[in-house]
Amino acid sequence: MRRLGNAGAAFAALMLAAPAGAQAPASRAAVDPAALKALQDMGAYLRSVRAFQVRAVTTDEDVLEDGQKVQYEGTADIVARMPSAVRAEVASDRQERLWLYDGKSFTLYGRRPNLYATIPAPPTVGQLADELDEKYGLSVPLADLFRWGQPGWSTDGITAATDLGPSVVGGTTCQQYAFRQAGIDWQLWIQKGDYPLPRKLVITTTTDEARPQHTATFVWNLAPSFNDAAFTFDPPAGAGRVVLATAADAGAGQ
Amino acid sequence: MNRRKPLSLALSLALVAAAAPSRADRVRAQSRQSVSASRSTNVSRSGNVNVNRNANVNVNRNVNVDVDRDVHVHGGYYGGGCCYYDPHPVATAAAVTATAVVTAAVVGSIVNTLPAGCTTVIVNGFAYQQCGSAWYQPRLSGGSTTYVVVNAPR
Repeated sequence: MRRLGNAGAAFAALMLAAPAGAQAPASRAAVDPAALKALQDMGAYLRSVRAFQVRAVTTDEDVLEDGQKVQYEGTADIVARMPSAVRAEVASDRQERLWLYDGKSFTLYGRRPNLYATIPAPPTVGQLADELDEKYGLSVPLADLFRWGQPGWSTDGITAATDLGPSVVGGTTCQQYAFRQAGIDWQLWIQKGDYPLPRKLVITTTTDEARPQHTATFVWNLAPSFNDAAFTFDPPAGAGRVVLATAADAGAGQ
Repeated sequence: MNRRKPLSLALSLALVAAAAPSRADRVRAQSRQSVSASRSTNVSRSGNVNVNRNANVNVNRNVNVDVDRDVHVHGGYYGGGCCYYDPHPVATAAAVTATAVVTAAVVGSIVNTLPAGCTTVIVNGFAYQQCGSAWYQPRLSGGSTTYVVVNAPR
């Protein structure tokens, strides 16, 4: 080996690695149709649920300039009467927001600044999510729960899909899947049995070398009790009405 | 929010800012929170940071923080001047804003925190912050409240 020098050693190492290396990319890139179908079935099931309450515990990571990762805790409580009424309370270390949508208007309320913004809204939460996204740069909380199974949603962007076998999340037996698509690797735990609900989601952002990760675990209630008032905004004392920041605010202001 | 300003601008502005931004404000990337296609490329939870599905990796919060502090530190006088002649296209945009400056905070500039001594004034049902002669319009997003310097509403 020594006689080969560095180049020769590297070549030898390549040759040794070649058999494994030749197979690994192929198997990693494989899309297991059964894993995709599980995702599609879950989406179809989610869209068949007319009302639900879900509580999510989340962690998110920021990558600091020097590469250090820091993690933030959060929760999201959502009550939805599909497709046109959603109440979401989102709290994290950094902000508390109440999102209210009743099929006619949408209000975002910031508890700490005691400010709210209200805009007219389209008739379905799917359309609302798109509008908030495009015009205001706002991602609705737990957006995937509303997008999976929606018309227009597809699994086309998924470049790898793997069934990782059974896994218990919060005492519930799930099936764990791993997916890859542009910019992210992600894992999903789908409850086994008659109620194929997502119970855990992990998203690893692959566009930064520190690979910041988002995790969410979900606890579901498919028989929530609520009334219409749950979806309408009644400004608390002293709350100021303001405008919703737009995606265009990014630039030089107005 | 989608403010793409070059890091060089942030650094040079930092020179004129009295206080350095918190290290935790210097974020270069954030975890993406959803897997399904979203039409925009922004994640809104912090208000100011892009999730980098594009090549513009080093856009970060300290850009805005520094700009903000600059406005604050100089208390109604935009004294930066650092970038006025910077030929970089984005810095030029900042310079254009700077030329609009008279004696108050720059109309159209965006800050994350208000100066001291502001009062809430309701105009046409909307809440503004009046800080001396400067008026700020609060704007709410999913992850932050920002304040845009505006001309006196009425």
